[in-house]
Amino acid sequence: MTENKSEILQGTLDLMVLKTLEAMGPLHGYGIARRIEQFSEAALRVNQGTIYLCLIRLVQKRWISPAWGTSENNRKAKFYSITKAGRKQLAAEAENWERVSGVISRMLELAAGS
Amino acid sequence: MFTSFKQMIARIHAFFRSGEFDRELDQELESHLAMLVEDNLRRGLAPKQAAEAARLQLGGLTQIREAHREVRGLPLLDTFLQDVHYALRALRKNPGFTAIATLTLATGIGVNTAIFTAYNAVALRPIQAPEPGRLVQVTRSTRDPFFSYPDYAYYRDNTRSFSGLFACGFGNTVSLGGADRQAAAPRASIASAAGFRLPQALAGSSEQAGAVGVSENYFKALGVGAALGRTFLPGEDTAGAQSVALVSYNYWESRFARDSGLIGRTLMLNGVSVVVVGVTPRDFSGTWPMVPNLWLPLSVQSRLTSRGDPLHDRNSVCCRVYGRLARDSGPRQAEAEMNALGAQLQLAFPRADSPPTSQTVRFVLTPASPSGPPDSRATAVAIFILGAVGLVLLIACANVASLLLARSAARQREIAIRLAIGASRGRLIRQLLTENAVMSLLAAAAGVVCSWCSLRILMEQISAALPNYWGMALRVAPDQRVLGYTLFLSIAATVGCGLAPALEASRPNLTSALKDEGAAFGGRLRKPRLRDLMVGAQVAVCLALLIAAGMLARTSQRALAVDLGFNYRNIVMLEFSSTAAAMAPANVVAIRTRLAQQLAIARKNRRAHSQYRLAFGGRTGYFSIGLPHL
Repeated sequence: MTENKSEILQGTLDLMVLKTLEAMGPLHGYGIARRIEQFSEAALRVNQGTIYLCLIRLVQKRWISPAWGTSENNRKAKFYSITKAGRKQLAAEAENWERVSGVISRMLELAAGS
Repeated sequence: MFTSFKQMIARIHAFFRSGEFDRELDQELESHLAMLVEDNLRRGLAPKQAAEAARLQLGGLTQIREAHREVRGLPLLDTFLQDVHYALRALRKNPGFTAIATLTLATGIGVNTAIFTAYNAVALRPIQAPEPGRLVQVTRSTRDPFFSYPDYAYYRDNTRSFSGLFACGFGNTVSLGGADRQAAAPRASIASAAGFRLPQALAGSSEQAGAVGVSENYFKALGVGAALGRTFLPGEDTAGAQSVALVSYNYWESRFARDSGLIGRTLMLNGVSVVVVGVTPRDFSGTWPMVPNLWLPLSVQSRLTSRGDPLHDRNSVCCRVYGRLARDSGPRQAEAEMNALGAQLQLAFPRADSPPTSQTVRFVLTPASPSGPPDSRATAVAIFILGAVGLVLLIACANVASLLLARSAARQREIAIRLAIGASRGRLIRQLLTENAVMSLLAAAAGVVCSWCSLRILMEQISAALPNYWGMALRVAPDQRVLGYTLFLSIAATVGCGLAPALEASRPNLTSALKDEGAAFGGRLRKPRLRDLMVGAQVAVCLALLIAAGMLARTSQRALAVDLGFNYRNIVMLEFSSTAAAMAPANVVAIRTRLAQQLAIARKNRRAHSQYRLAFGGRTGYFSIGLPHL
């Protein structure tokens, strides 16, 4: 796990986790990891364990909150849900992401056109 | 900003609850793994393959745990604690080395701490009063700190920059009567065993007490109340008022066994009855360098002594002047005001003997301190002594550095292995330095305790060797400043004795170090040179210190044995301290005649000759009496 790659991923992963929790409601770590894998269509291959580093960071920032519960298979698991601060952060991050990606795609179109 | 603050709190929390967090993570990872296996089974994998694939998908458990700890906690502190842990283990494993190195450093640090504690107690001590920063001493640009009482009174009554301008006179010795006689306390020994002869009152003398005269507003302006009773009242400094005195707590304890009935009692000081009105706080020495026995208003003090009437004599200096700056005033403003008032006084009372330069004499305000205005000569002496003991620490560091170098040769294999499995050099140096820091801190703790104990014994000896009326010796105790200094020393010692060996030890030299035969001679070109350099420097510094110490000891020895040109062994000195009236010349002659007669009768066959001389400037009587063949 190189330093660079995880740094690039960190912000994106945060955003993906927040969005997943906002869309799906409370989920455990495995559920979040699977959801992200499905969406990314295996484009993002990360060790699923990495998700827990992201989760503890978000918990410490109070953007998500954990609670112990039982999974659908009757397993003890920690369920994470997005907080009010997390929603606010997600909105801000999403807007920022759209702006940046809009700029990037316009730049790429420009490069292709000229 | 707010988020990162909350995150910091969460990280600190996670750092201290690491075990709990680890257990929760393990539980989460366990469920995660189980769910992965279940999914894999559902996808049709064989049980063994399902488990294997799940482990791959999740990633290395140990790595996740470590990364988790790093993300949620305080990784820098974590590795530091690990280093400390390892250092303690390494030190425990080599008790001999640890003991010798720690003792060596403790000696160096202890000596330095002791000297600094003494320096701190003497020179850096603030006046024991609230807001000592607003207290200043008024001196002149000629460095003359003494004022006459009428001058002081003029400044006191006309200043606006000071909320209080107060005066502290001279100390003097008074004979104490009106209290039960005190049994002679056992006297100290080390000084007399070393041959120092200090003026001690002989058995049968009247009891002496040291008194300091102060203006009546002294305690009020300082903001210091009495521990018992009251301080002086306005008007008690005037000639007609009742004679009152304050007793210092220390004297109250040592002389009067903390008898609260002392308040209101009358003591006979030089034959004058004086009422005790209060006890000052413990160890309170005000603007005086030591804790006196008694505090007297200046007028009372002048009544007790034979100095005449300094309170009305503009030409006789009587006191140092101190002030507490008013809230709305600063030192510059106060200085300007004092200069203006001084010019007014000069106009009103032109002094016949004032030199023509007196126009240019200006007032200077210095921060008030019991040790007086800052003195460049005293500072130079202090720096010299601190430098000398600094050299002792340097020698200790060099010794420990040699020990560490020798040990690093023995540890080369361990270090080489750690380098080989991927430890960075910086990390290794940090770990070696942590080891030294732990050692230095142990040494510093030992040094502080030793220096404190030895200073206590020393001060007890000094205060017992001095006549008690000279005032109590200072109480020395390590305070924040001393502890800070010691901490600084131990950090300096860590770097001083540890950096070179750590750099040397962690130099990557894998091939020779990992091979056994190479290890013994590893870095053979470099290390001896460093060691030679250190031994050379050590011998040089040792020699310089030895020469200085030898010369000091020899000089003191000579000074003790100096030939005065007369036989002083059988000469005693009689000192009279009494009021002016009692010491009128006619009385003194009568006393002298009677004394000679008594002596002649007592020693019929032996000659007792008496010589009488006037003491400088005063009318106190001194007799020296030769008692041959005693």
